[in-house]
Amino acid sequence: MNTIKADVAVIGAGITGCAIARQLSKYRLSTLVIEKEADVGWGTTKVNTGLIHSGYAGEKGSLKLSLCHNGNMLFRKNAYELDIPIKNTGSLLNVFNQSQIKILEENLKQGKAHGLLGLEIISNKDGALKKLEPNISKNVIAGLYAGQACIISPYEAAIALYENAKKNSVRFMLASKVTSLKYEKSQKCFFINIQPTSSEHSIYGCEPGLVIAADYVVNAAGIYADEIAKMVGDLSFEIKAVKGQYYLLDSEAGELVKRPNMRISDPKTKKSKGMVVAPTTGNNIIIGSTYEDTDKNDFSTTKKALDEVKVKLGQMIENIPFNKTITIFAGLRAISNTGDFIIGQCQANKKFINAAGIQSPGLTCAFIISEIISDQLKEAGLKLEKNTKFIPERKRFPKLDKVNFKNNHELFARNSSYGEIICRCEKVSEAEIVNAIENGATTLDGVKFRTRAGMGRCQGGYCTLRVMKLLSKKLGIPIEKITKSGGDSYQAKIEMD
Amino acid sequence: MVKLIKQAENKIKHSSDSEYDLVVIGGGPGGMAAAVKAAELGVERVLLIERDSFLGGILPQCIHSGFGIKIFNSELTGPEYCQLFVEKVRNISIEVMLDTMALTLDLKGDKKSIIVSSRNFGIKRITAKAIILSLGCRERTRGQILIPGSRPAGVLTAGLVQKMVNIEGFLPGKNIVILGSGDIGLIMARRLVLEGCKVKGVFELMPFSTGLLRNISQCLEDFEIPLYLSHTVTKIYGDKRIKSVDIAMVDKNLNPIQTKTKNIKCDTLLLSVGLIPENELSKTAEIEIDLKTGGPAVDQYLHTSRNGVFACGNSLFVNDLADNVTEDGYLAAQSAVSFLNGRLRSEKLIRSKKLINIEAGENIAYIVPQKVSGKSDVNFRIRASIPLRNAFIEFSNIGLKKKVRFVNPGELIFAKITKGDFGKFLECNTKTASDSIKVSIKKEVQGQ
Repeated sequence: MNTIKADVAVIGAGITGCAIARQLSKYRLSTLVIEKEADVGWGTTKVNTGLIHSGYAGEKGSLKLSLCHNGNMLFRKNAYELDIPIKNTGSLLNVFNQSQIKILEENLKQGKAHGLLGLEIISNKDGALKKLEPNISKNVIAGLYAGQACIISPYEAAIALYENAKKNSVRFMLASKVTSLKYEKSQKCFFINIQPTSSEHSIYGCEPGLVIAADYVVNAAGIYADEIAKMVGDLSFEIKAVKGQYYLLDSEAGELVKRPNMRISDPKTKKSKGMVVAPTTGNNIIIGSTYEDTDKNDFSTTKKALDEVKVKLGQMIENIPFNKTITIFAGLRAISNTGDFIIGQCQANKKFINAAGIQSPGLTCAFIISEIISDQLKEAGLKLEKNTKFIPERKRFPKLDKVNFKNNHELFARNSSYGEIICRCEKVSEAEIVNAIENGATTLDGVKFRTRAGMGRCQGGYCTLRVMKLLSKKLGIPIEKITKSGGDSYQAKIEMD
Repeated sequence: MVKLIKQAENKIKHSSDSEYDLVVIGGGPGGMAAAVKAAELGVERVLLIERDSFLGGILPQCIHSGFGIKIFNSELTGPEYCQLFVEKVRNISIEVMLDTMALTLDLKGDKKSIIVSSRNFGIKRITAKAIILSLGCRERTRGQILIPGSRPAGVLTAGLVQKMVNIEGFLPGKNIVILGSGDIGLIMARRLVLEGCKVKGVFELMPFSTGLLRNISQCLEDFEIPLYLSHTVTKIYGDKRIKSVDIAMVDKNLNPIQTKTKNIKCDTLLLSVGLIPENELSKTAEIEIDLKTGGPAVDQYLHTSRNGVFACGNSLFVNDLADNVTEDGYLAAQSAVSFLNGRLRSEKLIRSKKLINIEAGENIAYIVPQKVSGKSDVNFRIRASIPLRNAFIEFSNIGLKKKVRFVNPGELIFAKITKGDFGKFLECNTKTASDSIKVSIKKEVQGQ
């Protein structure tokens, strides 16, 4: 049986796990990340509005509230280092009646107390809100504008962290599922059994029966964090999967709103900041989402829920062109039974650190959580010696300039495959796709999330086979073994004679 | 066959000078026909731009027969039909740029220009005196018809599967459900059965098929593949790979009937739910788009709203037959030649008030051309929105009725209106305010 030693094993490569891995790469440690999916950021991370909250919301005394504003600041600093594109849009929380204005005032007060700048309640009476958001409905009487809010692409952030952590010697075991985990007192070490989730395990570095021996474990397993915690006897929390369903609209609808517009949540449920109509960094419009208790394996969309989104958000934003929908999708939030983040050493074993229940504003807090986790590891006895070779910067691979094509001459001079357009909708060149594969994409979705190839209005009708051929060539596996998203998501069944 | 076409094309060289009389964008049946005809009519510098590494568009993947009945008077396969045009392109003075993607049209200056991209030369500007757009169409996707459920692999559009099977040589799965009875879906049903797959049925939302009648008979009936009208997919199951679908009968408002839902196991869901003219390039030049066809609005010369820019093929409207696309390619070329010779006058022809608007009325999904001068005969192309027996096509304001025994959304209707007929309209129009002719398909009332 093959065993790999590590100082720290991080379970889960969502935005939280990746941020933790990159944070740990600042120290002289061997860090290993285990992820059951074939790529990073494929759980809760990828189904997310991408809003970096300013930090006025949340219950008093909660981690969510106390971390969010600083989390925003830290995210911005790191996004700069990691070349994660940010759009400084601000955000609006919109209300429909006078009693709800009180909620805005409370939030404003709470935000100011936490040091937020650029917070303002804007009335729709004198048309000020309409000026800010031309498509805002007459039903909206006021909105809380938060100037420090911004938008990013959550999966791009996870990919940036993954690339940078890898560069700083973190080892990633993708398409590898934890099947059991136990602490051996005699050896003072955790033994983690992992199994490949892909038959092409050679490209992911996992093999059947592999064991990871780690001194410390960080549990960032998203909706499965409670199940991982149970493996070491930590029964202190439970994670519930709560589904959210979204529409994604074509970039032709990209001017609909200028910033994330949130609909105030139903005061009876108080579950989340409610539904949102938001621009994305890719110039699409994302609209969602619902809040439905469900099973951990239920990623299905339903007409009923999507109709609800349509009605509720149609009351806030006028003229939403739902006929420009490119795709609909659903994701699961990891909601803890405390309603708050669960961060810190577990009682059963202090060398096992939880980063669980990370839901909104979890994306905003990814970096601040990663710093808390490294502090917790230190407290639990891990020696943190500075890694003098740490490279904080990561650069995005240059994309074709879709607006001013002249700017691409230099790219082409460097690499002629910039001239070969593989995805016609999003104008993605072969150079970008090859680079994505060289940097870790192993699937069609992996290429899509890195380059946007297949994300446009034809949804891969044109580029799917072209991308499959490039994946096959670069990974050295036959075309029929190429998957959409790992596991058995093959595009082909059997080769013909 | 594809290899042959490729070899033929590699011999066609293009020069470095980038000023042309006519640039044809898109090397499918429409673009090849347009380029060949223009060269035959004496245009000196014709350039044909194709994004793929071979000419023909989707013809090489259409290995079934049924091509060429109009143009060559014999029934050919797609690759055969393609090869005949590739020969024509080779034997006449046309420059061809393969592996070249047209990114934007720039019509702002005096010269029309096209920004193109290729691995061979990077990004460059090509200028032209006239442009023909023959950009083809794309398939509607799952997202556009909003099928609920999970998002596994194995949900594919029919054209993509056609390319997988016929060009790349692999199958998408073994147990197939087909949603939509468009022509590619019908053809792929037969194709997949021939390759040993089980096609569990073709399910069509409408109470009629949108495919050609000959395809229903030759692709489904001859192979005993069931066609279920007024049915749709209401849910997709499967985590990584599709496992099954829910199929429901729909009521007359097209809403699924809950009690008439059943689950069907499958490993592939093929979508043949409509085609949309490719118009992104047209939009970059702010060419007026007809919302009914999804392609540029044109006059009887296939002239778009931009002077000197013509459109043909499936980027104009989605055709049923390649032969019709070829004919439109010829027409676009003839018009472009007239334009280059200064005979096709009038700036911004289509926006001119002097033109007669053609309106799609009752039971008509779309009609092309959308505007006519009334000074020449026009062969209208009409797409019915429902099937009707013993009907007539009515042209308002000219009091013209044309009897049609049977109309079907799957088959394009051609209706020729003469200059004389328009004359009647123009005469009376001086007195009335109306500047349009409304075209409708109506059912013949018994006893008439």
